[in-house]
Amino acid sequence: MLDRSKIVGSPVSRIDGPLKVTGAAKYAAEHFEPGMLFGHVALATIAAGRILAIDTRAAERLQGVVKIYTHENRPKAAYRDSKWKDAVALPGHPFRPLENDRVLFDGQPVAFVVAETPEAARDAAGLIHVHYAAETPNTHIVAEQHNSYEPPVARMKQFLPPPPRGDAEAAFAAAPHKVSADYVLPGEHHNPMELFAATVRFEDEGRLTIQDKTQGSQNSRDYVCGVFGLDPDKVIVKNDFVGGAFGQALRPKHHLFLAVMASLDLSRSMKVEMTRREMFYLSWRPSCVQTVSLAADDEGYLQAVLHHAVHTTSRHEDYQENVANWSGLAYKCDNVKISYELVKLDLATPGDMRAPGAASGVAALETAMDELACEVGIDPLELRVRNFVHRDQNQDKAITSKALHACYREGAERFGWVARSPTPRSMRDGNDLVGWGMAGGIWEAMMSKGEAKVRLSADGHVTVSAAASDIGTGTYTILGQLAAEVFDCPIDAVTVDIGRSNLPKTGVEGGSWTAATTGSAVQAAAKAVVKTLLGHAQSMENSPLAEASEEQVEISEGRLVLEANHQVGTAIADIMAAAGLDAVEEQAKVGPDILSMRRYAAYSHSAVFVEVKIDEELGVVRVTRVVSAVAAGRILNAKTARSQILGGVVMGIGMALHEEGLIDHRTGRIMNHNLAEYHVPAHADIHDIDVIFVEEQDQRASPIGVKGLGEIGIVGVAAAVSNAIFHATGKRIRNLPITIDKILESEAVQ
Amino acid sequence: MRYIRPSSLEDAVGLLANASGKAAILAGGSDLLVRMKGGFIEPDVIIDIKAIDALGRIIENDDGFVIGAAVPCAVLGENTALRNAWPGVVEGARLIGSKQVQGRCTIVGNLCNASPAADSVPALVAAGARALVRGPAGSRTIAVETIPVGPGKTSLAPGEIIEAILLDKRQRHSGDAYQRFTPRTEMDIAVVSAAVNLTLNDQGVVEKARVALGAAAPTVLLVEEAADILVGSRVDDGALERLAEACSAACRPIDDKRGTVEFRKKVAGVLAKRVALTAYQRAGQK
Ligand SMILES: Cc1cc2nc3c(=O)[nH]c(=O)nc-3n(C[C@H](O)[C@H](O)[C@H](O)COP(=O)(O)OP(=O)(O)OC[C@H]3O[C@@H](n4cnc5c(N)ncnc54)[C@H](O)[C@@H]3O)c2cc1C
Repeated sequence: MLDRSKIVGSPVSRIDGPLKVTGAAKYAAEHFEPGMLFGHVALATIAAGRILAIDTRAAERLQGVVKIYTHENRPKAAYRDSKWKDAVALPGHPFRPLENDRVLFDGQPVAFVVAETPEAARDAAGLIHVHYAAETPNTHIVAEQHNSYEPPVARMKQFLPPPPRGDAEAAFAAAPHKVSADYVLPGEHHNPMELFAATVRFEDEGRLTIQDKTQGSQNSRDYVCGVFGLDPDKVIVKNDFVGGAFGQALRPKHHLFLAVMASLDLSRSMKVEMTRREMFYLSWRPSCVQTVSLAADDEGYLQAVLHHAVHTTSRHEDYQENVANWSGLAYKCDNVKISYELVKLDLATPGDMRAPGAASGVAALETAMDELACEVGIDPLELRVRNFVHRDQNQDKAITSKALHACYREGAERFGWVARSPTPRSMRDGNDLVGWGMAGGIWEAMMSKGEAKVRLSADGHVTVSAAASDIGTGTYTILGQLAAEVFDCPIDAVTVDIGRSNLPKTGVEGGSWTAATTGSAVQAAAKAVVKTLLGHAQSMENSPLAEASEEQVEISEGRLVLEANHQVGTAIADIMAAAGLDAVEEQAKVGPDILSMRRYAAYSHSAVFVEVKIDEELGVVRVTRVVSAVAAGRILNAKTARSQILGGVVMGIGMALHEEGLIDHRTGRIMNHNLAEYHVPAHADIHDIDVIFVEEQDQRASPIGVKGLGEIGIVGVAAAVSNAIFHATGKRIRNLPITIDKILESEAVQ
Repeated sequence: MRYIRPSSLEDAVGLLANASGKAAILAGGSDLLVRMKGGFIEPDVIIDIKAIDALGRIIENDDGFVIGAAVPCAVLGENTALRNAWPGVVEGARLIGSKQVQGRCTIVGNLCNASPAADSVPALVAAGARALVRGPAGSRTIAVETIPVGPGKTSLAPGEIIEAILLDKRQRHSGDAYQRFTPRTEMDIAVVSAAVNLTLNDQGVVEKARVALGAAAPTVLLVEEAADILVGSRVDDGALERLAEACSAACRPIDDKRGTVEFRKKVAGVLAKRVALTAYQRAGQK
């Protein structure tokens, strides 16, 4: 017997797991078409300037080369910028591959080889000689900071700083305790395991079926149709499986454009897969410089918050993310001033990377909070507790729910925080210095518009469909669970059909809104199926459910029954037989509740506790223990939810200790464009990570009570590690990553 | 490019001698393939030695151990006798890359790739290991430290193949140890590394010592001054301090993203102390 109340929430293993571990799950680059051609991109080796000439003669002579495209012979594509703007596009001019002779960033595609084999294409790309008129690039955010500007066109209204409240400067000047410092974050690169790839099947009558690595099949379809003027009914984009993306695959990338371009031009099927190196010249987390000033009274109550953030964007687009606004809403404070600016550099357009904005801004805020706790002389956790606020002061709105106190309490208890000795350098384990640090995390709980279709067959089989994407997060599984809950069936009886553009409309998978959106749509469609079934049941003669309303019935063990008395009811198979149907299918559409959104803001919260051990002689930091306590509404699947937080914590440790895109500022080129040199934590760097989901009921954030989990796990982690390092060593390092040289070179405070 | 997989050492030597164009020996391939992919080398002939049975064995005889050139590092770790006799050598081999890499890679490949940061080489040098070399002119046995002559360069003559690494029979009261320093816990390149091999007398005084440093100079350094400090000592604090100083002084490292000259010198000293203590403890237990 199945306990219905336990289908949702329980640690169900991924339903796509067996396909993945047996290799049966195919990713975008793993599809083959008869007679297909392969493409390879030649990349610019300067960061700014013009192409004077491209010599493709040697490459063309290579056996198997079919055609080489450059800006001089690229087939026509849309003229207007609006056609190039995808659903996640930015203010400015979208990048158009092979458009003209201008080079805007290192690694920009300058030529595209199409050949009979991937090897020939790659080999030929290496034989292309490009002559440039190089200009001196500017790629250093700190050096170019004086050229910062407020974005003239906002990407989203909520990314703009809130109006100042109170008089932050005066309050800061008058307060007895204050800290003010600059925090510098390097650029980071997403590096999902799966490389960007597109396989285009060229079909009759100009139809295309495209396997694309994307976080939104419909976004890719609409982009391709916009750029090439294709009929959306003739183009299908699939992304059945996505090997990680972290935001990098929100916007269509040049591989998709070039694959479709060549396919249409040559009337052949095409495949393009990027190299790992190429992945470093695409959307990235922008380098960012921030100044945070906090002031408090003698008890630690915040008197003033000032946060100024500047981050990189490209020459052609104004990438924007919400870096600093968190400082105006995380804690109670009546004197707040937030400002936000961009700097144009000769680099590729940055993009959303896991908890875009929050990962950077909260890292600075939560380090500053730790500094303030030291300054006031109270425990850093206590400082946060005292400044708790149950209102979004930025927007002057109520909060749907905020179980952050529970995160503080349960996290601290699990970690053993009470045993912390407040003085830096006062805890040791043998030769190692021990440090305990903590930080808070916050992320917006969003829901977007979305649709889903649910079909129940007479034999009890359920099919759920939507154009949603599972980027490794567990979407397949939670959608299956939500349907199984309504139909009281085992999850094996549910087929989840997602990852295809010709399914019910869904936005891109990002911002942690998929569970809330598509999950709610699935539940709504499943309930609509139950309602339709009830209608059919009531048309049967002597129906025991004749008087029942939709709210009074449910499905139990294959029957539609009265919720109050399961004896009363009719078998689904009988209802369908009587109605002459073999299945009932309904589609539902959901979206954020506009009325509620006017009054309420919704956020997920977390408290992260970190232990580091530092070999003082060598400066090596090990993160030996992490407890992440998360309040994110209802948890649909304890296992996949935990995995999301684990992944976020690991990425946060990477941010704190390892990750950094290194640029040679003389040439504007990225130096460590591979996984051997761009370090993320290795397995052996990761020790105990404990995840707690605190109880939090929230019916306003989304109809199914979830707030999303993709981002919250990383937010605050870098600050917690940095604060732990301070506690261990007495050294405050404000530019990430905290590498050994920085620890050894900086002075301990007294 | 031709790929050949001979089944005897004689065939391999013959193929190598008669190869037209550039020939390369392939053991685990974890350096060779990476270098080929990066476009650094383009061999005309690749001779894969993994199918030669005689090279795939570890033999223990009266003189010590004979480790075939094609034995993967993971297998070294599974050999209890070797692990007990030469824990430092095995430690080095087991730090290379990851489990997957160790399933393929060899200590001979590590040695012949001639990286100053090669993880198995300092312990081999400290152990006084020798290489059995087979070439067109016959066989010879040479000290491992004479093989790498600079980054990526070896003293092997064209046509020569290393057949095996020879380790002496372990004497009583002797022990070795290896440690490296890397910012990341695994899958990283040594910033500096150190190996120490000690033999004690019955009173626990060091009688013989060899100290080797990795990533501290263009080739692995055998630091005789450092060994001299240990000899006659009980590896007490004073000896350790002088050992550290001697090791720091002996370094001729480079400045790069992974570490400055100054930092590398310091770490060399710290690691040498730690490794000497471990080797001393191990020696005392036998
Ligand atoms: C992901 C990864 C991580 C790594 N991590 C480390 C690490 O942590 N530490 C470290 O030291 N190294 C590391 N390496 C480098 C490499 O794995 C080691 O150097 C390894 O020991 C090489 O052994 P192999 O058998 O794979 O050598 P191969 O690549 O087969 O050969 C290396 C060189 O030796 C020559 N050669 C091989 N056998 C013979 C022979 N019998 N006679 C003469 N010449 C021969 C080859 O021609 C070639 O020039 C790593 C490599 C990778 C890919």
